Amino acid sequence: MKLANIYGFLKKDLQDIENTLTETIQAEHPILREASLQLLRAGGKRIRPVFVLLSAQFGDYKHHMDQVKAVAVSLELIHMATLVHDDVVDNAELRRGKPTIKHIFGNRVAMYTGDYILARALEVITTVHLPSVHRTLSKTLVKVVEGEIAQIEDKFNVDQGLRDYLRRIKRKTALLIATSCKLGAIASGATEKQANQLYRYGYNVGMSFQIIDDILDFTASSKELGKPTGSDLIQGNITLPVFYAMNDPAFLEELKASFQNAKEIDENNLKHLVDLLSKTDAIEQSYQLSNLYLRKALHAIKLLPNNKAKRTLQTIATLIGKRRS
Amino acid sequence: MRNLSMESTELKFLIENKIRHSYVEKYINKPFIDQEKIFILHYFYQDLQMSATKKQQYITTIMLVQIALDTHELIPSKDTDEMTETEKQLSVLAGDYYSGLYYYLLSELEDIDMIQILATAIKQINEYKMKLYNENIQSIDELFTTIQQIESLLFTQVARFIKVEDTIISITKEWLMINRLYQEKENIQNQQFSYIDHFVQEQISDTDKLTTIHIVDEEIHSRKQKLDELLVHLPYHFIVLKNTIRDKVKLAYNTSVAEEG
Repeated sequence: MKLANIYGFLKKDLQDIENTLTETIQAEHPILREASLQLLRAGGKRIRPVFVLLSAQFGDYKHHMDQVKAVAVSLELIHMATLVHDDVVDNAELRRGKPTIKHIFGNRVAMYTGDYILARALEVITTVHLPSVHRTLSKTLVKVVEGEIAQIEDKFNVDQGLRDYLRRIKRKTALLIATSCKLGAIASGATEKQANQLYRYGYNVGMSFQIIDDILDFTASSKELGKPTGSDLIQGNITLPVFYAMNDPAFLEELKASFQNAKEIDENNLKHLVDLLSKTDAIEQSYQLSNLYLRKALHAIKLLPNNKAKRTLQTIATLIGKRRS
Repeated sequence: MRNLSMESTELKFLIENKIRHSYVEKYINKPFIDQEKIFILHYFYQDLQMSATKKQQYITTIMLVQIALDTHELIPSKDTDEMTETEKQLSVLAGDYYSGLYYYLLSELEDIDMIQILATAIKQINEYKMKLYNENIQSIDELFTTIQQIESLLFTQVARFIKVEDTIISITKEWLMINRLYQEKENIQNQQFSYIDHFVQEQISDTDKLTTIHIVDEEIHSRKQKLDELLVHLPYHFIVLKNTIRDKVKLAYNTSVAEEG
């Protein structure tokens, strides 16, 4: 079952959000507009708006509809802005199988586009006059960037611990999903307790989501990924499967040798490392940790009222665990 | 009254502390913090009814936006040797980090309206930057207007929001533009990239650097005259501002027009 099929009842609202996203990034400058729209057209799962809308079902959704949608639009724009800048950071030529803004227009246009989209996101969210929304979101934004800086700091460093990895993916992915859930709840007037339960759900789902992304980087084909298999390792990023594989002395030795004085791992090295990794139980162990986070996510929303949104959140958690692309 | 310049220096240290990041500092230079811009903001805020700490927080916030924009301006258009990969990566992220901090500080102050004012300014500045970068400029006057907007929009938007007098806003625009023109002139003299030089070379073939410098000098001269006229008509209680600006931009003290008391 596809993820999008399970929240069909949100289809109309998601379409509204899609339309608002398009309207919001109509820059005056044609290239700025084209770059922003291209990013939007590239698609994506719109997972953050989905979590905002689902979490908002625990409050007075209809009464606070405008506020909820502003939060959803803003969070997706923030995510988009970080993607444009990430492509400059990672020197990425492709995203979701399509050329990046950096690749087509150069670094400078990518920087202006990212800054423009972030500014639009903040213009949209300032239509919501709830201080707690801004406190939560701004803290998250700072932590997300801190996480990205830490990722660069930890590149090609085999002397880091599992905790470093978990802290990195928390900031890189889980916090924005957790914040989407929490802000959806706050914007719809759900209780503080419910907002916190949804935050914990989002955090755990986000951790699992990123772990699976990191697993797929080794197990999916480059066609499925829209980028080369093992691209994290090429860039020196030590992800969960690599951590587990490092318990195998042969893999660790090979990895250390590859990382020595290396800014990038070449194709042959990578293939050898991926082969070695596949002979360990690293992928299986990674799935186990992902499943642990999913169980925690389900536990976090156990006490929420039984409604369609709760059932959908439960299904999403289950499907994320089975995700293969 | 405490010396405004001294207070600006103190604020500069406060901002430096706020943006400190040990790993980032290892690879990229400390961002340039324009003390004259701090001075301008200090001047905007000095008569507002709020605590000194709160004023400092607002000035820090606005300067963080400026620093974020300036940091992203360092990213070269193409990946070349002028910046290492790590320097480039950290410049992108440092700019984003400063943007996050400005939003965080204003959310702590619970000033949602100011968040919106700054976001709108950033949006507009990026529109102008795209226009400049993509060479959608038809005339030298349009070029100067675009550069002036990039330099001053953040400050003029804030000034209008907190209801600073129109004359002070006009003075701010001219002062910031003169500073930028001096910077462009220095870039031309040091064989560094200058948008003005680039535009002149594209428009007038077979021209030399001296011609461009002459055009910039003419513009500086004309802006200084305009600034001088604006300063002369300021009432006497603006004496600190008048003298500071005259000293900074090396304006002769205009005695030909009686200053209004």
